[in-house]
Amino acid sequence: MNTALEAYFAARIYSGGRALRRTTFRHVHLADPPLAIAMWRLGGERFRAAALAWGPLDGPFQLAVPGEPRNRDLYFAALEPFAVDLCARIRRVAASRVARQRGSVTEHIPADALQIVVPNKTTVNALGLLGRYLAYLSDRGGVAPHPALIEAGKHLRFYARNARVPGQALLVPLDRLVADHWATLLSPFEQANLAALDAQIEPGPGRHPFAASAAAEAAARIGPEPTEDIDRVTGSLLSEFNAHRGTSTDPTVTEPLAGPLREHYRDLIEPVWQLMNRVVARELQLTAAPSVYRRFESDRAAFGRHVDWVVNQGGHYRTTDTPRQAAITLRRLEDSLARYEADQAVEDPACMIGHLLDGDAVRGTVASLTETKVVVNVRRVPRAVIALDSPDPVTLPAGKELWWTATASGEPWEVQSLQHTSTGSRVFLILTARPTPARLPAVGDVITLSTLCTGHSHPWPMPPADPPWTHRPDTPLTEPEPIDSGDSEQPAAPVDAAAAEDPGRYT
Amino acid sequence: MTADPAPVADPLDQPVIAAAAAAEQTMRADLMRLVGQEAAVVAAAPAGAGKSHFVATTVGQLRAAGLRVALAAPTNDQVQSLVERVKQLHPDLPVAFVHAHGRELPPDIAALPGVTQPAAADAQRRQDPLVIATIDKLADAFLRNDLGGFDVLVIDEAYQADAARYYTAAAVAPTHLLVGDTGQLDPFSPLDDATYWRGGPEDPLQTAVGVLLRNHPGTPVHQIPITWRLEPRAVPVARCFYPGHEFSAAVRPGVRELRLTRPGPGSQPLAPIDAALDRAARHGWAHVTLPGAPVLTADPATAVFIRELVHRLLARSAQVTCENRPHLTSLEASQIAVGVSHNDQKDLLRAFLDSYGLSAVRVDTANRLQGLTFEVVVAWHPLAGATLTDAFHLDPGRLCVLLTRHRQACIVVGRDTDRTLLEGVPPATPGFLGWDPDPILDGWDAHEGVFRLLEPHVIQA
Repeated sequence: MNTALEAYFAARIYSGGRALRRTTFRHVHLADPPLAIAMWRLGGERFRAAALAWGPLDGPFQLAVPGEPRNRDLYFAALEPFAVDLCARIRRVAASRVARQRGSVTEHIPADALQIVVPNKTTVNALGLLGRYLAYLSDRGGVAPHPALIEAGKHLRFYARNARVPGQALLVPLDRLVADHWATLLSPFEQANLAALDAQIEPGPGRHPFAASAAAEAAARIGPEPTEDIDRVTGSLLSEFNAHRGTSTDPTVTEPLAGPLREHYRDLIEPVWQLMNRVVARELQLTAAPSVYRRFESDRAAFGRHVDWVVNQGGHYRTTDTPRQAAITLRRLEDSLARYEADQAVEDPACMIGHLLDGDAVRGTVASLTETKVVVNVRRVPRAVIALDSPDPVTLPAGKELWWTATASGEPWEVQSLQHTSTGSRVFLILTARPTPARLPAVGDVITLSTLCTGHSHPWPMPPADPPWTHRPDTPLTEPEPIDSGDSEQPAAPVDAAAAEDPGRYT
Repeated sequence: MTADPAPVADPLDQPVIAAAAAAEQTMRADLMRLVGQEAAVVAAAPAGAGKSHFVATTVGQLRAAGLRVALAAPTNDQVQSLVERVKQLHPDLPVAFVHAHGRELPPDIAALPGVTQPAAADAQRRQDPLVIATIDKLADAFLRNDLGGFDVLVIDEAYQADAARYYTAAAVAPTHLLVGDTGQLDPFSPLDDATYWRGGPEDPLQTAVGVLLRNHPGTPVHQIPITWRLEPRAVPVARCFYPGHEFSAAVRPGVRELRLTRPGPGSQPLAPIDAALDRAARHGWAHVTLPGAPVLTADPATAVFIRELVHRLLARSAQVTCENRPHLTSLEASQIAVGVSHNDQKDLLRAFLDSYGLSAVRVDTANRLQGLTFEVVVAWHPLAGATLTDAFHLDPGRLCVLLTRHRQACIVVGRDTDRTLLEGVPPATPGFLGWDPDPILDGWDAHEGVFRLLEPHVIQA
């Protein structure tokens, strides 16, 4: 992120009184409507959802509140409707397939994919943890959990892991969507609050965005992490619920008792649901960038592979990557990031500004276009040379490869030389391929060339399947215990701090 | 004519050199003992420890024993200089440089007798006894062309190499020698959540040495106790980046000298610049602080100041002498480097220096300066004019590279308020099970130590 551009944005927003768009296009696919999920956890209980709301964003949400999420029976009973509904939606969407031709291979990928939106990146992580918990449940104690819970766990785990792919649109954290498309006065830490971001964009009449976002941040209650005041209310309602139910997990007893907790969470989620609705509606108004369709096609293909593996083949995912999987994933993610950044800048002039300021790109007027011959592998071949007049002090070194934005997936131009002029710089570039009309700008055209290429990256060979000795431990790792082991144990009796003996450890 | 400095009886600290030679001998003995086994030796070095020399010498010894050797490093620049170094020490040794498309050796190195640049398949078919390549190219050639079957794999800059790349290249030989500088920048990824795997044995961004020691904790790790590049005045600052690693300068105090002519009449406007140059010449360090202000990353005022500093250094007819050149010789522009943290700082400075005819002065980011040596370095402090600290700017590796490239003097340029960023309580930092280092707190600690040591050398501009 270029600091000069950020400073410019900050000054303009400060004087103009509202946030500014960073982009002229929307660079992420948005379904209309997507499935939305909002979630709350208990303080300190990372793997359990104390409340989970879901549903198409243009309608009312359904709410799952187990009452006591640390009780396995109550927890599973409350999550079951969500799990069943999620699995059904995913299966339904994945059922309709279209053919995709890639070279000589024909694939059948889903015609659509279920898109999930959540208020923030923290919810993505929370759903990943919930999925991890549910996906590996055992039938410990002879009671098998509902199969939909396990399948939903696998789906959530897939969605959360896929959310790492730059530019993906299967699981969209809205705070990230807004922060990527809008410049605001908020720090990266403050941008994690969707209400504060929204207030910067629409601060309300007569309000400065700073005041509006400060007020929104103070008033907003967005999960999944409870603040202390929410946790206090939850704790009190939870104690009451547990006191009245005793040890009962009978729905006829617990359902009515969970009413106050349900209302408590409904009140918290209502405004978040409206906020998400407003944010998605606003972003939907912006035209999608041309590459959005291609990226969502990749998402659909990944979604289809996942459903084939989990639903059709009953497959499991490893809990952790092998060194080989991690190495491959890292490389794929880095390739995706490079491609996503290139797509954004090449398609969207507003996204190119930072690259121009960083010296990764040059913009200017084509002053001349000449043909020449150069020797390549002992043959003289034709090449085109352009002189580009830029008003900026260009510092690109000779030999640097640049792609014209109009042919960014094609052949690069190479910087031949540079002249500093009284009005800026003149850059001489040679096309590294045979000149054809489609590859050449016209004299007088104002063009942009950058280091960003939207073509396919060089294929890289897969690492060997067998890890080398350096990546195998001397002693094999021990098998981990089941993820739900300990669930049936009685919790330790509470300790009265006043009566506890001082162990003297810190004295 | 300027008088040469009085000669020093022995410019080198022989006990330090003897200790380093003994350590290197032990490492080679360990390596030779392990040949044929799936095992490795790690050599951890401070900045300027003569790693490349050690690597080239060791390669010669392995070849003399009839072993087939693959020598690799992370970047093209590094492997090209390894080819050169190997040929300097062993002119008769055939070297096969296997490279990616468009990454041929520079003509002067390619023309050295015995240097070839075969395709990977040819190198394997001919069983070339010494192959040099980047780690990526070696891995690619191993997978596509079966280039392998070596006796020993030697990796230079192994603390820059990541576990993912090491995974693919590791199988080319059973026995490995990993040599690297522990203070330099760790493997890096542009991903937002690059710490996703941190702490896990599968983490692809841990260093090659990290994954090796995690899986094989019994691997012998040796520390090279010497720095050839840095002189004694530079060592205390350098030690901030190498906790637990004892090392000393090979050269004795007073052997190296940077001499400047006196500022002439009418130079009052340049007084702060002259004061900084004089202090750097006398003490080896100067820390120039511009008035405190939050500024852009590519701050024009800082860039102008650095340009004037470099220009003045050469205008005052700088001369240097050292253990290799006992007579004063003019400091050339190509012996000066400006180290920065960001590409836009580099671009701005490049344009400014070029406008003064100072194109020979190297300007580059810390990443690109790793492994290089200059007589004088001007370091644009990573925290200069910042309003917040973050992991990138606190990275101890970045500051380490910037402050350990020089043989004579280093001039750090920052702002008055930089140090105040480190006052108070350090930030909360994420913790990772199974991963002890904390680059943010380590960086915080190293920055504080450097500020403290540079305090006597502060010049307010």
